[in-house]
Amino acid sequence: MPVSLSKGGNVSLSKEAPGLKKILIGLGWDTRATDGAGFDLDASVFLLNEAGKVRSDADFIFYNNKVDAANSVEHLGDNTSGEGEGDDEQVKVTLDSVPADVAKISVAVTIHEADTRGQNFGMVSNAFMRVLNADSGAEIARYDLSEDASTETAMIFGEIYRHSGEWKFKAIGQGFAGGLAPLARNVGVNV
Amino acid sequence: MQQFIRGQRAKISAFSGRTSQFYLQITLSSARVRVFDFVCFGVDSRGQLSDDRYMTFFNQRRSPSGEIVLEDLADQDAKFEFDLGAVPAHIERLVFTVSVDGAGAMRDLDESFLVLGERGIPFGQPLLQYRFSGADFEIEGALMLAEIYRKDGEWRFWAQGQGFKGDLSALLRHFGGQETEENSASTASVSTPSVPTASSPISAPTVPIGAPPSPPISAPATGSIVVTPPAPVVSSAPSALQKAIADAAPGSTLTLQRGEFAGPLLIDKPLVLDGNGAVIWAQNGPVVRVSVAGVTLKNLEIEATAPENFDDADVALWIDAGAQTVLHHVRARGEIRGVAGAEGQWRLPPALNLGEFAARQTNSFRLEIEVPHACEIKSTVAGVSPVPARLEAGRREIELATIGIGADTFLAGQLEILAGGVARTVPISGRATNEAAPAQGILLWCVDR
Repeated sequence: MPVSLSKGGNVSLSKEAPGLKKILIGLGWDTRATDGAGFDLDASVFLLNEAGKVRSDADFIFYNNKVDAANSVEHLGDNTSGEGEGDDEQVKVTLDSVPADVAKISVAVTIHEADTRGQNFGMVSNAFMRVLNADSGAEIARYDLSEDASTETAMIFGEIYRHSGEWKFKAIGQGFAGGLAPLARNVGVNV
Repeated sequence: MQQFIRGQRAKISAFSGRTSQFYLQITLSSARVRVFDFVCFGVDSRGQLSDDRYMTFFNQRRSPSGEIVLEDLADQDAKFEFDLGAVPAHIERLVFTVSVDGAGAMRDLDESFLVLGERGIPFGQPLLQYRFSGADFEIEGALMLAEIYRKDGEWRFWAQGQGFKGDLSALLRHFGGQETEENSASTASVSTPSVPTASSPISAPTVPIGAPPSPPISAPATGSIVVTPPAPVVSSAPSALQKAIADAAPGSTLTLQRGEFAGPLLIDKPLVLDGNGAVIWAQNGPVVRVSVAGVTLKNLEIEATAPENFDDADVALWIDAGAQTVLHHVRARGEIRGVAGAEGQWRLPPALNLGEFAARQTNSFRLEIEVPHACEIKSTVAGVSPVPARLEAGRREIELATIGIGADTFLAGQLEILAGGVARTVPISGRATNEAAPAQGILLWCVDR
């Protein structure tokens, strides 16, 4: 029975799924039911230290930089239309390989060409982030953003973080003004 | 009057707490499309028109009890009037639509807008405006312009601005309604709602509201109790939360599920109330009152959403004399009484609207406030920072700077002023555009204004 989180809530992955080694982070949203330019959403992952900053630009994992230096976090690719059941984008994390100085893994989603297409998260339905046990495929926890999204074009959906020797998942749902670039700069990436 | 952009959502109580009666005026302009159809669909929790008496349009201008009325109708504009307090529980959403009558598409629209405003009270105000034009659309001929919908016991507004190619028929298909076959040679504007028949799959007169609400949990003698937000129906019955407090054993912990709970609330026994990020709100205060010692409040937001002009209506948190209370991560929109270190003369703006400011540049705003204690100031809006972040007691000036916010970004968040273990909050709004010039030291508010 997966745990359902609301904004701000967190859950211990280590307690919910003892012996957890690898997780899949699944991100999804409904394809556009109305007519008009489709929504193309991109997931980005930031590996952050205790200070909430990347250690280097290589800690910014996205469609052009799919794996980190330690081979612990892998972006499994983009689904450009949001069609199909389940996840639209997935990120695989091998927990034991995550470098010790990485305190949290922050997962953001941005709308591609949001400005030119005049789109924002308020127009996207049923966005969610979930965490699965990559070995068993079992869903551990899920966060449905629904009402937490509005006119933002970039959002931090959630984060996976270390806490007293455990891994936890926190539902963030924090919209970020101004798209991916300022979001990345905010955590210390040079873009 | 606040400007909304497509996709924006807000609680109606954020603008108006004085009335449940509103109007929605749609004013279209197009040189190429002469005539539009205007329809308000009252749909159930599945988004279906299961009760087609709640399709309000030229051929059926009143819902059964007059809750929704198409008051004015012309070729390019219409005005709906409605009373949200009277809308029956099986109607979850009011969807305000426009569609072309005949040829053309919404990309042919010139500058158009809708306005939501108050009615049924003296000095009713227009509340918000959503502007749109053909540049926002392509081939769509039928638009869901705006929705007013129930969520966590409150009505909210959504500037949806999306639609379908085609005309009114496309909307009817979307909402599961049927067209009556009159003369199907031309599909122009056949729009009588079908009379429900025994065979119609959508003719159930009423449909229960979506998911069954979780009932308040019966209270064990001690330990933790989880309280879920009430079902999405506005109710005047004693709140589930007040009942949970009545049922709780002294010394127990009540944990709220994140969500919104209607107040007011009286806490009259020692216990721990862990809001878990939940909001307790009421139009008028005191919203939360603590009358005994030994209470702990944590992770809670308390809001007096629209106080009227009487004594103490603006009090969010009231702690009786002698009722020592532990506060931990408590935020309040409104006054606070009975907390040492938070009392005294606070003079803060009710809200800060930065208006339209220059995208991607640095904008600076000023405000003067009066604080009776040393306090810390934070902004919850990324890219907006107050300087200085710490104030000594007295009349003080703060600079608010916005840095590098992208075009067409709407700001919605709050300034938090922390003293005595409680944060007072001031909502911040504004919008970054490419058109506006950078703001340089614009004075937003001062104490003696």
